[in-house]
Amino acid sequence: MTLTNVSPWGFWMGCAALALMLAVLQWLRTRHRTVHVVTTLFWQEAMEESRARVFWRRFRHPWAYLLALLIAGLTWLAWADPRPEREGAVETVILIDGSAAMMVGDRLAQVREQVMRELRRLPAEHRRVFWVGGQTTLLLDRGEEALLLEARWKGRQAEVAPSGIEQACLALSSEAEARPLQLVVAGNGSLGDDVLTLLPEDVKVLRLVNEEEEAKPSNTGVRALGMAATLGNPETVDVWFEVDAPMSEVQVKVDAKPWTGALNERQPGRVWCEAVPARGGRLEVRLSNGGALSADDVAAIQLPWRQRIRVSVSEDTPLPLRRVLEADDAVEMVDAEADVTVGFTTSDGIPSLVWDETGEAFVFVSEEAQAPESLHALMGLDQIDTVGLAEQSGRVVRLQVETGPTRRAQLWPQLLSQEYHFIQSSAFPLYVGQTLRWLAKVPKVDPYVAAGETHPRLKAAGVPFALPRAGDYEDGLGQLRVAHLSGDPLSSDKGSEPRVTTLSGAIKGGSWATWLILVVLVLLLGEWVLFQNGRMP
Amino acid sequence: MAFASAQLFDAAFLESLKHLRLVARRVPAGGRFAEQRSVDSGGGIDFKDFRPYAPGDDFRAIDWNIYQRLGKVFLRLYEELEDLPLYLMPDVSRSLFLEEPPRVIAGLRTTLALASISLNHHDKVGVFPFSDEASTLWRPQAGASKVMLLGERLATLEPGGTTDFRQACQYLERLRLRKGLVAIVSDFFDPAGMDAVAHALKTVRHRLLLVQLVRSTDREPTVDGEVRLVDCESGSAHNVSVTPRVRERYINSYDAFQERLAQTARRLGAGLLQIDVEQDIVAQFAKVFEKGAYRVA
Repeated sequence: MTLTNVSPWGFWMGCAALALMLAVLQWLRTRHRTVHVVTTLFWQEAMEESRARVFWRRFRHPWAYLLALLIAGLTWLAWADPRPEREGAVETVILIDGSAAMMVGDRLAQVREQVMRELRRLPAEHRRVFWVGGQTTLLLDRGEEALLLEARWKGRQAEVAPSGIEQACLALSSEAEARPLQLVVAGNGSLGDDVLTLLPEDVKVLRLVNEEEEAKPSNTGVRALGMAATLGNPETVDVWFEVDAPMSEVQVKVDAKPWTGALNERQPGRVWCEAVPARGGRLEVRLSNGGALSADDVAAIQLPWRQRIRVSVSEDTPLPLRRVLEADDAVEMVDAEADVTVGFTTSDGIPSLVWDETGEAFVFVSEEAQAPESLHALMGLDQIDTVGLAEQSGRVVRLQVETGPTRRAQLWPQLLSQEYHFIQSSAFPLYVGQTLRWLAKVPKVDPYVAAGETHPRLKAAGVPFALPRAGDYEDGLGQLRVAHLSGDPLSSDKGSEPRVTTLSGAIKGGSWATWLILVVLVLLLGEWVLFQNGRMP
Repeated sequence: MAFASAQLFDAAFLESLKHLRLVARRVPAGGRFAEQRSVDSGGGIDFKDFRPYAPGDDFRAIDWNIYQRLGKVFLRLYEELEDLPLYLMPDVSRSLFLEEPPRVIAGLRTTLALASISLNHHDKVGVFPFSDEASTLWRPQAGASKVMLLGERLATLEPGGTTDFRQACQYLERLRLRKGLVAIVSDFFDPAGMDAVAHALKTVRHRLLLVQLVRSTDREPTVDGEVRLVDCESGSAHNVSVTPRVRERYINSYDAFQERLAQTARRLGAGLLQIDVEQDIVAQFAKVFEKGAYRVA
């Protein structure tokens, strides 16, 4: 048996205090009130004389004392709210859903009320509370006072983030090896059957539900937002979006000004804004009537800053390289004010592409250290015939990354001659184009970024990860805007989850407290009867 | 703690005594508790007997008709109606000064009421208050005009000690008073018990009227819980847990006491009158007399 509201030590201390208090009361009770009467004749015949005031005689009615102590002790025990040992040893983890779905109405406020109510019923040593929003945060640890939760919850709002309940359940399920685990979902985050089947058998999943049935909210929103480079025009991008609302309710703005260009529905459900100037602005798609959830009524994307790369080439530039440069729409051949020089370097810090026999086959100099592997793939070098080149040149073909004040790309001059087949390979124009863009620091067009979804550009220790919530982020390549959530947050509202027990009342039923109170009432009744019969003082 | 005369016998009470005397006057002859036929023959109007003449007899009593018929001198005897002295014995022990209102007020008012009625009928009245010892407050004397004076004397009484009927009755007997009616006004709570009271009353050679001063809480006391009961006369204390069971036994004991007192009164041919000290004294007396008479024996 474990106690919910008080520690065992506190319980026994309370019992001792009660026993002492009742003993004192018993002692006080025998301090008779003095009453002067005209005669004691009749009392002498009738009375049961109390004992003299000595300690060992004080408990003249030990059974009455024990009965009072039993009643008080049981009442105290009922307040302590004892639970069976098996039930009490269960670790209960309350997962508060802080995802976008909780933005609807006063869902979060109701959940808060429920959690605070249920928390008082749980033994403090066996319960924790997690906030599961964009990130999972421990709000209340084992043994901490429930009041702390109120303070820590204060100011928290649901986040524009997908539900993380499933991930949290999976992460916490490993704790079930140590003791039985009870996961209590407070909120609307769904639990798919595929996730539930992954949970160990001794993990019990419960869900707190509102006593008042909530009508299924209707919702429309921006479901996807992305962009791609415009073919043939390096200074614009094509932005696309998906909505589940009539187009009449859709407003597109670029830097707060309505988009006057064409909106083409190239594919069903996907609308394109073509040739949007890539001048670093912000394109926003907004629904005039988005339904229950306002968080997905608007999505925005950060437009890149793109312009033609002004390239100044030396006169001795090999013809194949010159032709590739001239064929690139993003390149503008200039004589002065170049962004990138080809074949020569300058002293005023202009990035350059040069050829030199010394050093490795491909050398990249950057202001900051970069992983060779990332540049290798970025420049398309993973598509060249390295072995063939090595055989032809008799040298090891390797990529070298250095740091320096000015960006620079260097390769063997032989690679640009007809001597090797590098210029004939499909990797050559790719290398030239990517190298020029790297040298000119042309921002990359991110086709699609959504909260909760992984993206190639987002990696941690080489592993793709998902940003938890929509919003603006900064990474090494510039500003990144997580435009929106993927999909309708409300479509993942709790459904019929066969393995999830829904509770509208206490997390655990069948408290012993009720039975203890009944026993106390019976004892009180018995005491009253004894008193009425004159058998109880 | 003597009472001021005005406090004890206020104007309303004294006024009501007049009413009581009027009520008592309507009681027919022979109905008064203080009236008796004397064993002596005298100058009454009711014929009693004849007896032979003896020297020194009153010639006016000679029945000359019998002398003419029989030639012998006989005297015609008439009944002598004598008054019955009333000896009032108010209890002034400490128990009568306890509680509120104290019983002694009702006791002294009762004493004065009885005295007032008797004095109004030209009977002699004597007052002998008692507690652990008795004394003479008012020697037996008649006179309707002395009611107020008696009242003033009663108001001077101080609380005595314990109630001791044996001592009180012995004192009365030592006075060797003319046979009369002794009215004892008391709560009859003698620490020696009811047996001692009964035994003491048996020694009284007068007629007896027992006036018991009672109040509702005598039978159903209001004390409850754990109490230390102190006898106001003896000072003895008893710790009592007043439970319903104890309370029930107390009532049984009180009822037995009452029964024993009534039994004693019956055996002694005494009258027993209960006066509720919390009610109007005169009204209670008036109710008794309105029935026509109150005979002691």
